[in-house]
Amino acid sequence: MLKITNLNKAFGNKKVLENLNCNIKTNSIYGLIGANGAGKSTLLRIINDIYRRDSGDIEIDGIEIEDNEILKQKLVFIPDDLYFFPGYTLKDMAKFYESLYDNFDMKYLEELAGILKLDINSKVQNFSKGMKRQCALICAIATNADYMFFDETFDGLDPVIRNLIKKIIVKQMEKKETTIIMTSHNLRELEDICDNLGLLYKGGILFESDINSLKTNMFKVQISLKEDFDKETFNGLEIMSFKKTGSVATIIIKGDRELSEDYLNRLNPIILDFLPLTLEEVFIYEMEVLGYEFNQVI
Amino acid sequence: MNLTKLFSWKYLKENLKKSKGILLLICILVPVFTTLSVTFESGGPDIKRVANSVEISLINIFGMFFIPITISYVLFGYVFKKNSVDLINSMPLKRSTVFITNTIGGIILITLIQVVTAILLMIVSLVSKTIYIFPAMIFDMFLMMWLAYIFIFIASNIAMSVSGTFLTQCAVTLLILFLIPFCIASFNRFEENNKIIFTENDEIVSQYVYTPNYRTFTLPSSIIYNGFMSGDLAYLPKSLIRTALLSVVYIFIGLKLFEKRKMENAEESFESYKVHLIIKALTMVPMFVLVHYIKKMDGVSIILYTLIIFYYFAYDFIVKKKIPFKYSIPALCIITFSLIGICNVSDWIYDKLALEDSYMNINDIKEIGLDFGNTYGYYESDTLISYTSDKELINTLIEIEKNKKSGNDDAVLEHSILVSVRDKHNKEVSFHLNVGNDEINKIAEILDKGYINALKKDYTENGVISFNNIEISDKNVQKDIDDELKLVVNIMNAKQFIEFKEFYKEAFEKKIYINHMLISRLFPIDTSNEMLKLFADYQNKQTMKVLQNVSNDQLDSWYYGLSIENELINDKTSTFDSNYGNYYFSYYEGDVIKYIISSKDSDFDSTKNYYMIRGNYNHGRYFFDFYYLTNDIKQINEIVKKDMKKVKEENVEYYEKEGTEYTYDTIEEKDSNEI
Repeated sequence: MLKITNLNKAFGNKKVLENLNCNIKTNSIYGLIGANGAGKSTLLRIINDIYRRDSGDIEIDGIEIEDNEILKQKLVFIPDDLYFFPGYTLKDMAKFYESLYDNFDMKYLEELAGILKLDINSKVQNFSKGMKRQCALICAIATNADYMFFDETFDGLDPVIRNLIKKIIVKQMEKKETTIIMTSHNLRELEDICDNLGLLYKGGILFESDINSLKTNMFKVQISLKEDFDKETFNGLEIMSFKKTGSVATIIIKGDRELSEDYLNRLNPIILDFLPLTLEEVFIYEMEVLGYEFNQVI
Repeated sequence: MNLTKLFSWKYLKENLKKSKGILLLICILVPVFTTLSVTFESGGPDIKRVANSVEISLINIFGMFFIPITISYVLFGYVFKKNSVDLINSMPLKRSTVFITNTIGGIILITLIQVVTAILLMIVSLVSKTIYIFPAMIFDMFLMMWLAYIFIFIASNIAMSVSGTFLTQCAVTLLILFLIPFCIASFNRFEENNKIIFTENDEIVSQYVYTPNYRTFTLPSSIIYNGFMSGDLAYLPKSLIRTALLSVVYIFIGLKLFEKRKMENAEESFESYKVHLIIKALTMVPMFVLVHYIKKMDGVSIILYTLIIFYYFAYDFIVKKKIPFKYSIPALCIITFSLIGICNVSDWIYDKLALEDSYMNINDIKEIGLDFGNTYGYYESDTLISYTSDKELINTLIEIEKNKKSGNDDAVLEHSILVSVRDKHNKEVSFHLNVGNDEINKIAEILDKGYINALKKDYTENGVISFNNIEISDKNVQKDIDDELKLVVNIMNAKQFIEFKEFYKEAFEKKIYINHMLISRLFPIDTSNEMLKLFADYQNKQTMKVLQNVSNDQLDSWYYGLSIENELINDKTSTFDSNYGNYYFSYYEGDVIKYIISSKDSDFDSTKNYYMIRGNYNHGRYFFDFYYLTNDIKQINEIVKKDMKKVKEENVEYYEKEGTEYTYDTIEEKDSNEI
């Protein structure tokens, strides 16, 4: 388990992370979203002991991370701006990882490179942006680290490769208990893979939840009643949003779907349609409840 | 602290592997170019000579300014790029492991460079038929350079720990290495603070201005301020110890700074603008110090201040790629006024302290060393000072000092002796003492009792002795040296050392490496005319062999000779010394030999003595060395006249340019005729 308590970090006078608290369960995929400059990369760098925090505690499996090379065997980090040694092939880079990670699996790397059709003997600098990211990702996965941190994971990957990478990540989690923490400023990239999502805003986790409850606890309804109605008509429900156009209202409801459906049916609706919500929409409404404009935070 | 955890061989191997190209280049640069430069210095296929410390370390000294910092950059350069910081610092390594591993890696590379250089020099010395390099000197130079490189590397690592870019790392490295030595040396040199004032009963007996001693700086500065390892200044034991100790301290400072380093500063100059400004201000200190003294000598220089202001803004532009005028201009005013103030106050304080430090009570002098070689114009840096605590000698020199003060300053002083004194507080200072014939005879009498014997002991007890610039066409260096030694030793055994006033007559020059110094010495031998003739015949036969085997264009660097024409030398020495500074002419050995070959080829007789004169300018005086001997005075007259005419023409031209008149015609004629 990764536990962050009252984490603070400033660059000069600019506070980047402020009293950040976060708990990430093991063997899960945690998606960290936030606008550019929200502090996602900084947070990952601090967890990986690249940057030093100003104050606060970070513990992984109950052990403090700072300058702890034994614990760092359990962590691997792939940044958004990748770096490969000049003139190195994928195999050279893999050997570099292998020399420092005790559990590095070279055969698995070769297998993954085969799946992704990457020539391990070609120089990485000649690869495309997406191929470079694939190289970095498979190097990281082959370390068999317990905690993997991927910053802007799918940046530059085409949809096919993106899905392939997602499958590889899931397979890794099946193979071995692994916790993945990945960031993105694009919610859609994370919604189909993450178990939990955290929204980073102004140096703190503004909102976090597991995706299943997010998606199942909130739904969109289009409804029309025989009599005239307004928001007050639905006082028995937790209404996140209410918009009425003509005689049809679009309502975002938070709560148990079956109970809500019973409640609405009792109102004898002329029209009652339950529509699926994208994760982005869920976030928009959650943000609105908290008093934020979604566009401001992402 | 678990030391095994501080070093990761796997990481070092990978870190070296990623830059193997540039590291290979760096590693071969110094060994290869040192070997080539020493080899090409030989001058000709048959010339045998002893290499000096400058020759064998010159490339190393140039390398000293960029190789250690390049190694530091190769090993630690990742800290200057954000993406490489992400890669390396996310790896399962402690920061201390990264620092210590890379530091050890750098030291291994530097050791490799220096060991290979030393081995190659030894091979050159063993294989070459023309060069002999003292193994002890190779070891000394290895030690000096090894430690100097390591020190610069470690200082670069400190600079890396606080800098965000390679440029700022270079700036901070230079500040760590040279800022304080530069300021101390500048105050010394420009203030003429290097005075030694001899006192007795609180009265000033005499005073001298001496060359300041910079041998306690750390090695990089000491090497620069002591003439790039020339002569006896090549070995700097105090600097070695200081550098070694500071290196250890700097490793710990670097380690702590690296552990605390804010990696997010990569690609920025420093952690904050304040630090940036402080470092920039420090880089301006040497400029203000220089301008301070230039101002004192020649008045205010607006151009220099303008250049400093230009530098101030250019620094920002180069390092930060922008000039923040809003902060820069007020900061410039503060820095300028602060540094001008600091220069003036430091100057005043230093002046006061230096004056207090310059007094030496003559009754406190416990040891004294004399170097008579200087009479011939040898640099003090090339000579060995043997100290003696002989009370009689010390008192005699004190008496000479006192008499000098009481009115002998204007007397014709024919001899210049380098005197080194050490007092009971171990304060040590060297200066030139100019004395007349009477005084030198008095000193010689005392020396004859023991001092020269002490010198003799120094030379004969120190193993290998080789000769400078031996030019014999035989193929085997060692055999030649052995032959020469046998001859000299025979002469020496037969006779005792001569008295000092005859010192130069039978002088013989050779080089030895003793007490970490390559010493060029005129070796006094007392011999009979028969022995001298025997020796001269031997020498001239060898010379003739050389002349027969070389072409004209090879002759410039040749010389070989022995002075035996007593009367001639005595006359010339006396005349030249009493008129020193009036004229100067120079013969190079090749000129003489060329002349002999071109004009008198058919008459050249190897059994006769040939003669050449070589002029040197040293410490404001002209000195003359005598090498080739001849019994053909007319021939010499022709050479001298020809050259003096040339010198006169050059002088006239020079003085005309200077707007003054050349007035030494009569002296020139007189000397020419005397020959």
